[in-house]
Amino acid sequence: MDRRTFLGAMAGLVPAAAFAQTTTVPGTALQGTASSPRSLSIGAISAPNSLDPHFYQSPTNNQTLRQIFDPLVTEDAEGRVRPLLAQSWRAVDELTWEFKLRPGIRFHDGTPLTPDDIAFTVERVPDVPNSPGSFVPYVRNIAAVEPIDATTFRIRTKTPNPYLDRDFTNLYILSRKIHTGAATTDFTSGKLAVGTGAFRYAGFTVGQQIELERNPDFWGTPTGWNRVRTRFIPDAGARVAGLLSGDLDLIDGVPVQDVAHLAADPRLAIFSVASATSVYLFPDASRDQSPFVTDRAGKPLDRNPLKDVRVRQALSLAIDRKGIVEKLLLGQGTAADQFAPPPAPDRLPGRPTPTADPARARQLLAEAGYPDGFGLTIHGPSGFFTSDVAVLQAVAQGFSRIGVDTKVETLPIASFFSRATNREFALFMTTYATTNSAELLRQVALTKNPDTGAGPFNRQHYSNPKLDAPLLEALRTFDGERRVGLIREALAALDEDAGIIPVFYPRFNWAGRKTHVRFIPGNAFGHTNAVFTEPV
Amino acid sequence: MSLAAEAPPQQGEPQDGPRSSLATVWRDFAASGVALGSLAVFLLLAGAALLAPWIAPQNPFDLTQLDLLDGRLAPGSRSGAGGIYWLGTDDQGRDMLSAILHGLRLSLLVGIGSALVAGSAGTLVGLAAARAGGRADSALMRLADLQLAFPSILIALMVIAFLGRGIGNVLLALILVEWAYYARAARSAALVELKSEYVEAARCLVLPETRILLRHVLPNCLPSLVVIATTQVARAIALEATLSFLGLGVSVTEPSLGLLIANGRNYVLSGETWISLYPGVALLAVMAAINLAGDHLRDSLNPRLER
Repeated sequence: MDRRTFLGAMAGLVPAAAFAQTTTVPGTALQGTASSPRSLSIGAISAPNSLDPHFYQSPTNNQTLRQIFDPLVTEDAEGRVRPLLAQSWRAVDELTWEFKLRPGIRFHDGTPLTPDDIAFTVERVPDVPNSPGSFVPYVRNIAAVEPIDATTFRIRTKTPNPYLDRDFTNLYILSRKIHTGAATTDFTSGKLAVGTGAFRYAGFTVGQQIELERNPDFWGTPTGWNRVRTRFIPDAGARVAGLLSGDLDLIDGVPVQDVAHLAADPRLAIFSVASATSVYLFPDASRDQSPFVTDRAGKPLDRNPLKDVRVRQALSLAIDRKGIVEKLLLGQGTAADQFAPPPAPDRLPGRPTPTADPARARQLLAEAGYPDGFGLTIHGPSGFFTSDVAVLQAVAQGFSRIGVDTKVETLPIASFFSRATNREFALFMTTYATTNSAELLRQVALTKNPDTGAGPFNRQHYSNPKLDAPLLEALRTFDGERRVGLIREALAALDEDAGIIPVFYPRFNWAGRKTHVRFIPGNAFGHTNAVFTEPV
Repeated sequence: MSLAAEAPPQQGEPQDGPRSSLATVWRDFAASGVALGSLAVFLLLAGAALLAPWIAPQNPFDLTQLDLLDGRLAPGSRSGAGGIYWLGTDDQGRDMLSAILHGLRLSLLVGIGSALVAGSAGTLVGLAAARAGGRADSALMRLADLQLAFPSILIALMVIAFLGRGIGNVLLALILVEWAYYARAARSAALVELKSEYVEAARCLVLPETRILLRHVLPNCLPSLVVIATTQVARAIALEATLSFLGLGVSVTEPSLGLLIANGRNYVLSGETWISLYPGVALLAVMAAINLAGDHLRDSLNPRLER
């Protein structure tokens, strides 16, 4: 052993030193910019895995591809469906919808957009092999796409679907002439990354960056940028440092603790939106025995306490949502008063934000037969959303206060979701983002049924007839007012049963160089792309 | 040493002479201020870690004692309950002083525990290999070489990925990473000793081979192994901190020093530097103390080094 070993051992101190590299951001030169006036440099937290718009239904892929491709219709930040490629649409009857395309739309290579391209897109979706998250649920119910004239077409559905227009918000339209037989790799290589969007493909390195150039023949208002380069930088400190050093013009995923000091910087601006994301806890309320539930001494219990509605209500009452939002999220979020997030117009109106009530929670536990509480290990992903690990610990803190001796285990995203789907957890934390309460309930809380595709994210196999009946009725009701009434009935049933315990709704923040770029959040999903920016 | 009663006089012993006595080693060691200072720092930190449950103002692992509303308070702030957070709090309202003391306890437990187990196992393997020679020796040493060829952190990551996180698995991963160092050193030391005259003499008395190995050869290999152990303790602490920093070590509600540093990292740019800084200082202090003390111990034990 010599002094080299000593130095080697000291090199193990990297954890202590790692943050030092992100602190090299003195308030110096923002004037030395990386971008000329007409180009934009974005630092984004997550990287798309492909440029095939039908390969992976994920916010990351969708937000990136939205620059090259367009859907028929789109959703705004308040959750309303807005025209895009389609200028108008209506339900002719419960099984038929008629869409009218905006005239004169062309793909990047000059090919005109026709109604047959929508038929092709619907046909192609099930034919994308190895998709880690398919778009099939959006087209499964479509019986036929029938062109009427050069811009008009009708979509026939197998069963009534009042949300058909909404189903098209993430489905980017391809061309039968250009994309017949196109493989996923043809898009990722750039060869067939040809859409109708405001930007053209100019280079893509998986996991690194994507480069785009202006589409001068864009059907809408052409963008003010000549070139846009988006670099994928998962590390928050590196993104913030990149912005402060002038290397980046705009970053997303601003860490909550950095919002205040970036907002105070005169050269920078913070842009934000109340997100459509609902962060929730999902208890195992269906099985008689659940893993990770024990008595206080760690021995297995003969029944699953989480099956008792009073226990679930007690757990909900134990959470200090206000404390979580104020202390952990530093105000960058809203305490949850129900499962559906604020941008969903059909959520329950006028509900008070619940405050932590440990005394009442203890009383409920005692009534349920657990006056001394029990032992519980709760699970959550790490690095999935802002402050996820810290929030889960705060939840555990609340549970412990009412006598539920709680341990926390966090896992990397890949293993977390597969284990959650395998029903390996008693209670876990995750998120769902939508502006449509009916979709939220259908995906997460409706009794699982693989045949109809109901409840694909109902990982705890929750089942509540008082929720199912009104929801299934709502999903085939075209009368808007009646539908909203049914959905609210289902939301209230879920809330009363505490089948899902909502925690908070995060706020998404972007930071940009004030003199160069303005960011206008285009939807409530926190999508980051150049379409939602304009030069200053 | 009880050797004298068993074995013939050991004139041929390599570390013969006045140096081999503990008192001389200590005198040598104590002659250096740095050595004494680092030993004192280590003993102070180890003592504080050992007594953490009694001297820490708070039990940072007990969630009912934490209050979210006391989160991210600066050092010296007053808590809601009236106490003072001398080193501030982290985002969960955990008293950093208590968290560091308990984290130090975990770090030392992991470091010393893994060194003891890996040291014993590795030494036995090394001795057995040296004694057996031939194919068994080659097989064991190639296995050790193979393992040494991989970076420790990679092996530890694979073990954790396979077994899952938790303090027991971290300990196991560290033992699997470390045994090869001891085995290598024990084998080479034992090879030298096995050729020496006192071993010959012991063999003439037809003592059992295990007895010769454990009672005669092992004690003479120990000095070098002790020095390896000191550096390996520091390495193990660093490795555990790295694993925890990467989110693969201990549970988030029972943080070690590495995890405390990782948690605080998010707050460095926003100015709450104490969450990372103090655990980092504690980690630096304990590792530097162990390494410096181990370094001087090596010098004191080395008969060939003239100062």
